[in-house]
Amino acid sequence: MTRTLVIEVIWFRRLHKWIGLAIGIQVGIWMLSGLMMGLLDHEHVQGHHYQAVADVMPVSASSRNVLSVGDILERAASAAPIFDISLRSHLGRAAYQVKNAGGSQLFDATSGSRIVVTAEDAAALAGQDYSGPGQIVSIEPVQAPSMEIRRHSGDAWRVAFDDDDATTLYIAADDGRILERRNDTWRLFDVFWMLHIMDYKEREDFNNALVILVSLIAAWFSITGVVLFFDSFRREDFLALVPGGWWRSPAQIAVCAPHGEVVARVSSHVGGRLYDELARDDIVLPSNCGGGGTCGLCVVNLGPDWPESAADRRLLSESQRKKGIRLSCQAEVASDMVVGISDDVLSAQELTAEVAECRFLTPFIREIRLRLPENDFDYAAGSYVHVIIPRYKLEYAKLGLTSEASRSCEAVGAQVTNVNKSETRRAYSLATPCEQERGTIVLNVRLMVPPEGSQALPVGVGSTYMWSLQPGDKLDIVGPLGDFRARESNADMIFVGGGAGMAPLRAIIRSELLYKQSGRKIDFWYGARTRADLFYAREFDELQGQHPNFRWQPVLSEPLSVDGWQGPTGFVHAVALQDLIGQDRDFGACEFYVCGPPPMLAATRRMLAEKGVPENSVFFDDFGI
Amino acid sequence: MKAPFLARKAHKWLALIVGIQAMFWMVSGAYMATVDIDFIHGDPLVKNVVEPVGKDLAELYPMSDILERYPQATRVQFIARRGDPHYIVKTAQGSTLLDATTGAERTPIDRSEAMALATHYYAGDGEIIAAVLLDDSDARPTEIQSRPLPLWQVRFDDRIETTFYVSPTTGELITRRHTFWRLYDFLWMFHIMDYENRTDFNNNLLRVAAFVGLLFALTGVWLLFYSLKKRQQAVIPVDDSNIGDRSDLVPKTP
Repeated sequence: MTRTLVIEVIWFRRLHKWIGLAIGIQVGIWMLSGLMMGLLDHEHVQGHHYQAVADVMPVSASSRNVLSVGDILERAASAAPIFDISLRSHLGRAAYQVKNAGGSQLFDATSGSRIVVTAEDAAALAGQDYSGPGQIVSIEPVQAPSMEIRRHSGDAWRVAFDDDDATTLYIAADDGRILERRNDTWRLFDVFWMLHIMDYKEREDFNNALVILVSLIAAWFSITGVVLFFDSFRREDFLALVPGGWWRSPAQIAVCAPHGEVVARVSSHVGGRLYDELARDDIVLPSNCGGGGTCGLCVVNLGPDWPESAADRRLLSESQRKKGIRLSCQAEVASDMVVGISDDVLSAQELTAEVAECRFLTPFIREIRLRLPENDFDYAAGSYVHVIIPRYKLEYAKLGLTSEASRSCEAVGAQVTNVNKSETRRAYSLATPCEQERGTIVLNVRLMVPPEGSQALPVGVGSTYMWSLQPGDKLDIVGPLGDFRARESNADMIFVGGGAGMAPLRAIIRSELLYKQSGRKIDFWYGARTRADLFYAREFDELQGQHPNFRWQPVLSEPLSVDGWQGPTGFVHAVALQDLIGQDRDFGACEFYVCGPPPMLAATRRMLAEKGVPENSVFFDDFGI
Repeated sequence: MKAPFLARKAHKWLALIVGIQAMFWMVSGAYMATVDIDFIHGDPLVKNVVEPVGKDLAELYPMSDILERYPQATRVQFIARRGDPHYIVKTAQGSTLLDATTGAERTPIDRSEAMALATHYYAGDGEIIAAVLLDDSDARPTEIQSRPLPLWQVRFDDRIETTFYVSPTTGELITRRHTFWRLYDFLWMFHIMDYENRTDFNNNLLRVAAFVGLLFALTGVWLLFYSLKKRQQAVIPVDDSNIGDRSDLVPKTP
């Protein structure tokens, strides 16, 4: 497939999807009704299986002495023009049938008297026509048209038999014709016929507007399908059918977790679809579209040099593509390739947690403890979880905001309510190490109030929801996720954090000091605006008292006079730098762990780069929550 | 294997089996739904198929004489054709056309009579270009289906290539065909997958194809559920800067 064609094909795919939404069910109904009409034996449907072979008596056997056509015409005395006068036998006597536009009449061919088809006559005529095992159980007068004799008009006799197919014959009352032979097979067929031609009232007109409209759409739908069909199949799909695949070039796929360690090796063949080949080995990447190149979920890292597909360009950002991110459903396996996948693909679980406890740590940060259904949720300190934020409508008045948060919301003109229109996800770091309390996780949630003057931005939909939670509420989470981790080494650990960036740093520090009994030298600079924004301070003071290798230094950027702040003020990274230089620390012998608001993060990384700290000893968690 | 993956695979492979046929079904179905069936049947092309019988019937050849001549007659039909009264006598062996005034046999109808009748029945604006008596059952055109031979085939030079089939025994217009009917019949063949007779929709090929087609449609609907599901956020490997929604982040230097 050439590249330009692939770009066009996505439109067919979209068209196919949306038309499918509109008429997919009807297409299914056509298939089902078509199948059923194909399965039901048409001989039965038409009632031929219980129809006697006609043994028509010659007219002369009844009477040769018949009236002339002229005599009959006189007796018929029809005002409407007559088209046909036929002599035939009717129940053992010669009879003339006279047809005009309105219907027909029957006359005795010898006497010229009018013949009326009585119930007994109808029974006799039905008996002549019927060869099945049943007996007549009822004879009723009916008026055509009705559902089973909808193509006729006038009076008729309905003669019902008690056979296994509930055969019912309809005899015209005017001339004794068999109008229809109906039975249960026909009745079933007729329902499918109705569904097939979409004439739900008369079941007769397959030129109705609805079926014309839907069938024309369906024709286009099927054409888009054919285009997709030719686009979807590759030679490789057919080769993959044959077991062994000995003639295909083998390929080894090394699957790497984010730090570069190989987590799996998949034996494959050159040309296969990466998504499928990984799935074959139970490495199932997330996907909504199942490999159609439309959902953009099955991302892997193939390196910046890997060719970009049209779907990659459509669904991935330029910066992602520059980093080597590609959709695995669009990539063909090459010999001995390396595929970077998120280790979350292998380890993340979806579970429903229950809110155990909530408290305010600062006016803007709320600590939420979640109880998990199982105790086997293992994670490395520094991990985060995705929280599923459902659709909601919340009133700020009922949130129980701190007075500072309320003021802040008012200051930016936040509406009375906050609405989340579609389910979404938010990432929150885990604020405690796994070992601290199994089966429980702790999140620090900062209420995201836009800065004053940016009225267009709403208060964060994720944090608003998280602030509305009360003990007992349920919350869906996915995790553990992320690769922010303490590295195994003896290097000094320098932690620089701010705001809600506290959470992963705290988890790692507590993990090192309390559970790994690490002897590494650990320094932690934490930045806040005012004294009220500092949290977990007493805890860190205690840790500092108990662990001589740990030192922490809170830094305030805008201390209030009432704070009576004696400590350092300014930007946390600047203070950290000053202190490190003052202590004459060797930057090259340190690992730096940084987490906080993006500007702080960026400033810290820039500063470390200026000091010649190699990138591979700076670890950061980029989203700061 | 995850459900959407399975659904897509199934839909794709079922498409291989029945996809082209499904397109035939849809396209032929759309044609059959869209084009008026009365037009397909050729109703606007014909006239005078029935005529009112005259009022003055005193001079007719008597019916009792017909019964004497044809004691095996099961039906004797009296009609008018081109204004003249006729009898059509049916026996188990076949039919005979009689002049109802003289009682003379008019069967078989010759070429010029067949052409005259065809013109009489024809409501279009074309001229007859050929009239052929078809009596070789090995060379019967498929468009007359199971109708018994012999038949006069009368072709007109109109735009839709109208062809009338007139019975040489009774002079009746047996059937009429034209381009759109032929296309209809061709598509009907694909619709019911009876490539031989174009009439039997109880054939096993159709049954199997329709069953696979049903699965095809069901997997398509199944797939729709996944395709229309709200887009999740991708978990970007190695570089996780896209995890979470950045709109929740408010720049505020501590």
